[in-house]
Amino acid sequence: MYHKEKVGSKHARELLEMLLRIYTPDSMRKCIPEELSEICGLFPDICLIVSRGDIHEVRGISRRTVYMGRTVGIVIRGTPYPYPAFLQSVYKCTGDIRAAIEAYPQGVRAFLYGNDILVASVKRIYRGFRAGDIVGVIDSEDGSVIGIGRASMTPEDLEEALSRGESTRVAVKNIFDLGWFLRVLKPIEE
Amino acid sequence: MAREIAGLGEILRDITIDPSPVARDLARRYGYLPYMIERYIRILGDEAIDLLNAMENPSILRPVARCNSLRIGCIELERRLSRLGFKTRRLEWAPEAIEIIDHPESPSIGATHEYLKGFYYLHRDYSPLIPPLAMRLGRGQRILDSCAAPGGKATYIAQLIGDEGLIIANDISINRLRSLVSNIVRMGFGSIMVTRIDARRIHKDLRLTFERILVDAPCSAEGYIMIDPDRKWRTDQRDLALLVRREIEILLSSLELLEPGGILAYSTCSIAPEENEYVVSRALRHYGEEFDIVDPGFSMWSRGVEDLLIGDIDPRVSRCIRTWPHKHGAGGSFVCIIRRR
Repeated sequence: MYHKEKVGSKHARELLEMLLRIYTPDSMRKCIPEELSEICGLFPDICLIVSRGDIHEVRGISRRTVYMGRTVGIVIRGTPYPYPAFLQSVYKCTGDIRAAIEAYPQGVRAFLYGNDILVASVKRIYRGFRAGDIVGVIDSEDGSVIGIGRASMTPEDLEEALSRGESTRVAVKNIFDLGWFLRVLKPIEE
Repeated sequence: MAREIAGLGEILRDITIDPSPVARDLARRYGYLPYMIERYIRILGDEAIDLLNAMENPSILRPVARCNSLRIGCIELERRLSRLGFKTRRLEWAPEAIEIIDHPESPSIGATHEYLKGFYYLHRDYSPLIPPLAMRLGRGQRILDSCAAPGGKATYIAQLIGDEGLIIANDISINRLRSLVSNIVRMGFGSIMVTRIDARRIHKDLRLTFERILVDAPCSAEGYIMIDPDRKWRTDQRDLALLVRREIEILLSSLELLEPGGILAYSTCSIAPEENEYVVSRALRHYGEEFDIVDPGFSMWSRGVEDLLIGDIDPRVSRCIRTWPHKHGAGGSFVCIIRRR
């Protein structure tokens, strides 16, 4: 049921390449997670890319291992994306936020329900993306990365749309947000 | 170590009790199976009525937001929840626990942005916090949670060891595993490995020993009748015997993986003595002098019950902990700390 692949897994490599297009290899060197593998079949429609970190393989149970370590990426319909918490750790580790937008509370609320970010909800733009690129979506209230999306326009076009008051245009299309698990899984109480 | 599991017939003989007319009368009035009431009377005497009344009142359970102190300061989380309209209170004995005593119409405490960001785990009441706190955890330990989903205790353990060590969080149900993994991912822990093994045979599949083990056994949930009233009549004594046999099997299997000097916490969300004191007594009897029960060192809850008139109950179970809904304002639960000599 669970498919696990070590990196060189194609998706994990693609994920790191995506980040290396945003940050220089030098600035990313100490932020790249180690021992990546991919876990599929647990959740509908997505696979997880995990970094094993300090967890070593326990002899004889790899067939029974469902998950281990820390999630750094998700794969949706064959395309890998950085997991929000991992993106946050990259921002912290590099000391530099790139390819991201910061959203006002009303945009954050909508995004966490699976909706897109409209131009009116963009509070701040962190450059380093083109139209069609992956961007991080940041909650302006506390700086948390709440999801990832695809930029509908360049930073310049976004600034222009803001200044022209084109408030209902989509700035970032929702790809994955932190509300996903809650929407997809039936909660189990404890 | 050879393990002979008790037969169902033997367990059924041990746990079968004959309800008195008083028990039958109360059972009719409150809608319970009479055997359940009989043991409440044997354990609690006149207080049994208080228990039955508490079980009619779901509002005695107050949710607890267990702050993920590795991600956010608990004072800051409490401040944010208060800003959203929640009235909260801190529990003295669990620094991470924020009890929700009143809530706004919206948002629900299980769907705030703070929840989605992994700043807290939501427990339906405080009882589930007791076993991890009683386990004397330390950084770098190797820990097994035999029946871990949906992950409240496993993530608390990860928090208490500073996310440094190895926790094997195991379960068998795929739906529950999804919840477990989603909670680990949401809260951002890195020290947890999740496995899918039948806990009754976990000693055969894991070739490791552990310094700490938690067996939070799948049980009848008799401690939470206030939110699951069907339990009043759902589990007859034969069904209960089946559950008890599984609980004994899981406990025996997990005990085999405990290192000398190591600690195992056995817990359930049930007030049924058959699933608690009886299960622990059977396990101790099985292994002889190799294991002992130690006092977890909490004084605010009730003790295990030795005089039950069912089976052979080991007197050392009086060192175990019980929470009672009518006395402690929480779900009924049981925790017993077993140490390997």
